[in-house]
Amino acid sequence: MSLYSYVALRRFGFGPTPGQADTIRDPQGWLHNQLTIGAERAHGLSDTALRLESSRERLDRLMAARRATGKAKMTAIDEMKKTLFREAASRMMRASHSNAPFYERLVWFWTNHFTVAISAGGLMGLAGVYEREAIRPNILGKFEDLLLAAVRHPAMLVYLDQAQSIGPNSQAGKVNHKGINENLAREILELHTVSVHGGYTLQDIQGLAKMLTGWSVANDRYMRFADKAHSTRQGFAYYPVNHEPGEKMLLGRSYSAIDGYEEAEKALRDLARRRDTARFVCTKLARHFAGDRPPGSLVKALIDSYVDTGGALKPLYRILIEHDAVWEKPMVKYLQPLELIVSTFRALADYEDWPRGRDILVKLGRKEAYGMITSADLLGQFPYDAKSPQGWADIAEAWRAPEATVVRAEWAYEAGMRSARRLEGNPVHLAEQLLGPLLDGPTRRFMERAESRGEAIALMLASPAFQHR
Amino acid sequence: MITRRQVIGSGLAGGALAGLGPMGSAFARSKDPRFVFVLLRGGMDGMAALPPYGDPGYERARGELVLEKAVKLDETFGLHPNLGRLKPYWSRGELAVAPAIATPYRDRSHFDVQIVLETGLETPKPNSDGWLNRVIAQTGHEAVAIGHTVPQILNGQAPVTSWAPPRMPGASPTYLESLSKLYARDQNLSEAFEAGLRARNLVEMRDDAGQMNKNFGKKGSRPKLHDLARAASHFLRDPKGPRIAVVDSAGWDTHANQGTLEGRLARQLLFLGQALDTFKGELGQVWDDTVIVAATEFGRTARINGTKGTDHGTGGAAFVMGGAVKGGKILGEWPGLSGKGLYEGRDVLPTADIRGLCAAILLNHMKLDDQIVFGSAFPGLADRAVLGQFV
Repeated sequence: MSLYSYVALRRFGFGPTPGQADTIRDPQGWLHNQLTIGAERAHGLSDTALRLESSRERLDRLMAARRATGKAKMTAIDEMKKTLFREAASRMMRASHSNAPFYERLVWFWTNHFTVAISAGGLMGLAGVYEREAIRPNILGKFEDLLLAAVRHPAMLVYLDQAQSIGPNSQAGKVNHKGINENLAREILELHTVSVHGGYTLQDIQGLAKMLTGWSVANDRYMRFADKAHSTRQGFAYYPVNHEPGEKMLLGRSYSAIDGYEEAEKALRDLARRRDTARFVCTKLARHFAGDRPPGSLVKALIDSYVDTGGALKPLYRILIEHDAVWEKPMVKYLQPLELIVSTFRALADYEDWPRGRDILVKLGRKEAYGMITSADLLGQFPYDAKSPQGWADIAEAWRAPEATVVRAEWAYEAGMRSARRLEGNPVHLAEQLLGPLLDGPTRRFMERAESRGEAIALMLASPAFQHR
Repeated sequence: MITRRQVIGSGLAGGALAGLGPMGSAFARSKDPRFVFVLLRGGMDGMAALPPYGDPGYERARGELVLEKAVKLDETFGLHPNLGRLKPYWSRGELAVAPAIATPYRDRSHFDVQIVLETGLETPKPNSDGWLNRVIAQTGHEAVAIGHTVPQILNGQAPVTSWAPPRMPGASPTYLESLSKLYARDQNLSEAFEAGLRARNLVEMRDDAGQMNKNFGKKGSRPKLHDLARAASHFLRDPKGPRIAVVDSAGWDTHANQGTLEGRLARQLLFLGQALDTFKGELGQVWDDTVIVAATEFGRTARINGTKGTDHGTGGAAFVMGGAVKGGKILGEWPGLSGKGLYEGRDVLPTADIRGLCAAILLNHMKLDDQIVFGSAFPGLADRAVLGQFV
């Protein structure tokens, strides 16, 4: 019943199921073992079982929806909403049932770093598939490969208006009089790589934007213009006719020697290897696992590793597992709503009743899976619905507004009262199984004095110990 | 000490932008000014809310989305019928409208222009604090955000209360009390929780008829904009409460099938009209000391698109209401809908800066110093951009 098993489960994972901490003798080993490609499927919920499609299928339906009018369009939008709900519910289910929750947490981290939000209408259908295709399989390799996978995914190209960016002096530009859209270039610099402190200027943004022209989404109508060598299964296509010719500069480097698709790819790889990128990315990682003001020694260790290895990600995760600073304090991060929901689910769920077979979400009877989505909405963090490309903020202040804390308390009350009948036994015993040495005296006492078992469970869920990791 | 205000007042010749002028010295003397900012997210279609029926280009621009009926304001403008309940305010001089107003940033991306609208800057800086937070950080005013999260306009160093209508049946008071005690040792959590409880109590106590709780307690009922307006009013009329409120309203992005007298946009406008109409009754005596601004990040295209809607534009409409307003007037010049008068050949050309509208309110209604307004809230705003004669 070591403290560290609880910390491993709560800080690196999404929280324990009752008694799970006792089964982990070697917390660090348990975490290291989760950094394998197999971990991607350790939740036991295949895309087929969840009835989730690929990007190409989704894109085709999106294009059809765009062309539709009137009633057909309404139906198409309805369908996209259902898709979104299914994706969001699947995501919550996977996090709740994974045997490699550290892997899952890292997927959420990177999806947030490379945010694609559903606020723009058409993306309702693509945000979930983006996470599954671009992020999930690429978090154990090098940062530059993850960056490329994210940037080249149709969801990102649509989200940041890249799909319509055309070089004014390109073949197509001269005919259509359309122009460059700088959105993606700006966000790559500001949010994905070197950050606002990276010293880039408007010229740099424009340079990168020019290099990116031609990077777009596969569209059946224009397939003959695409350079087949660079098309991907997910739906990326490169259109040389849209590419802006001429010299481009980015952060003091000229890219005139190369041209075409390779320009932007080289530029992105160069960006990924810059020290500013290392600093930005490593600080965010450290913040996620060691506290809102991450310890300098940890950040330094991560940056050094990143720079030495040219951006390899697995060594960074290993540092997080091994570095003392991450294990020193019992509670360092206020839970974000989605984390809280998954951890509450794991604490209270009825695992005996877990169904198998095709279309698991149907078998679950909508209730549980979609119940998590309703909760997410109530608590102010609907999956894939960050309000800007910056993603969800990873500091307590963002989630601890006065009203938000009261809503959490009420939500915990509901959860506690509803589960009281089903969960037999003393709620304090349940708290011991979930929090172990993290269960403090005051929480225990208030639980013992509660008016009802439901209220006791609610107090546990709303307690500072449960609300932090 | 000569302030900029006086310099502007002393005979500035009528400049390029009409509708401005020397600031009247006879502004209403508000004793304890209140300010409400209603944020309409998505780009409200100004030409639907405030149809310029008197403009010769109106019918051609709007095609099948032309409004057959409008409530007349003057020879050029009307109100969408669903905003008809605002006409008496116009007649009484408690409503002014700006038909061609925009932020200083020329772009059509929701999040970028909303950031500019909320941060008071000239280009989007997503990490910046909100202009209203910068103001209260210096004045010490209390502010409340009606909604689950604090919008960027109120983000910053100064602490802000937030309140949202409860969507769950209430938790037992004993439970909440226990939590209060349990949180006592975590200073941040405790402060937030106590503030949240106080806000809840304030709103609940205020409701004499028990009306609000009845509506919100219902399963599945989503609070309407007028409920949020009512909540804001309750906060503002409490002598010990905040003086500034921000209300968030979404759903204004009408790219397809926006409708005319009925339909999606008409419904939104109905809710907006109800909300704006709610303030007067709920604020009571405080109405005379109040100015409410309803503004959006940009207007929409003058012409309709291929899906019976409109796309992102530039110049849009803003409403200014309150007992402290000297209304019954159009703020800013109407540039017209002839091809050349349109911005980039497609949008209503903005002739007024939304910062100038808000600056006038901060200066003349909230009585703030030039330094706070020009140095902090809206750095880079020129004196002559401050709109005159309505507050």
